[in-house]
Amino acid sequence: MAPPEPTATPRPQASTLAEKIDALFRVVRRPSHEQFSHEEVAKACREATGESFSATYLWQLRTGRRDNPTKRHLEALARFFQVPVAYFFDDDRGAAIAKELELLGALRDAGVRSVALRAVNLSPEGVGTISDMIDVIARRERGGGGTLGSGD
Amino acid sequence: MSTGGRLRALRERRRLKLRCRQTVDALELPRPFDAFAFIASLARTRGRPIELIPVTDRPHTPCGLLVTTDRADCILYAADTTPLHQQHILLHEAAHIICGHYDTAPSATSAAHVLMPNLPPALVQRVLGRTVYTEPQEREAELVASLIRCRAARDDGLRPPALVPRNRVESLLSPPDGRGPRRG
Repeated sequence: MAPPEPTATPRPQASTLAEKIDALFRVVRRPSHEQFSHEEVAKACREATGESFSATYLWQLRTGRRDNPTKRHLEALARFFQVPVAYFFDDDRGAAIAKELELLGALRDAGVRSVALRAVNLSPEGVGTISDMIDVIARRERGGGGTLGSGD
Repeated sequence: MSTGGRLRALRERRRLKLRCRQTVDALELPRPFDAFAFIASLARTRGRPIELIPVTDRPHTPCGLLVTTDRADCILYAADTTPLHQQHILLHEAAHIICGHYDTAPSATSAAHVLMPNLPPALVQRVLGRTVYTEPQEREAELVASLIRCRAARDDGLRPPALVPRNRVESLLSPPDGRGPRRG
């Protein structure tokens, strides 16, 4: 089974371990914008944990062929990609982090360099709205167009 | 804060005010002042597009959002609010552009923390390669925006709009007729 193809529609929330790992590879990349190789990441995790962790095994986790990593593997992965460990260990916080990672990826894909925000007491709905807006900008930058009226 | 600390803070505030005033005095403002025209001329001067994207019917929207991409600066602003409020919003975001805030790379962030509170600022910076704005930059932008409004009001012979309650706007923006602005 090949890794999921990138689509123009919003991604489903990363909920399985495989989806969570895949999201990390997609969003947090090398400075050159290429994705990290499995070997690079696995090697860093081996060095961090002192445990064995092959590139093949990491690929299996990422594609859902295996789902039995050790706690230390996941901690090392989280550390490499600079996400809180709660991403893997806490359902609610993990879902929030997954959503923010998608937003971060969208910002990067839109060629966004910086964001300034003038807001007072931004509610959760407000943050969701901003994500929508940035998504529209991302699509515009890619040439897909988009409008920002009610109901969007 | 110690006395020394208070004095330092005071000096820093004065320096900031002076910097901002110099920045604003160097600007060309359209007369009569219009935020849209001002931003259009700003884009022409900089040779880089500034896109204004009105947003309506989103009650939870932040007033303004500036997104700097590789190609352009995009200002999203709440369009279903008073013209004066829109002007405030547009000037604040334009002030970030004028101050060149996006050229610096501080590690503490303001918008990033609001949008992505669970992600460490280092990760945001790592992925974007740039950054989002700090609190001091937000203060500077707000100050520059205020100074632009005040100068525009002076140039156009009006009282500064920032001091005017919303329901007085109409009378103050009408041409002077010898009676002066209504009070009370």
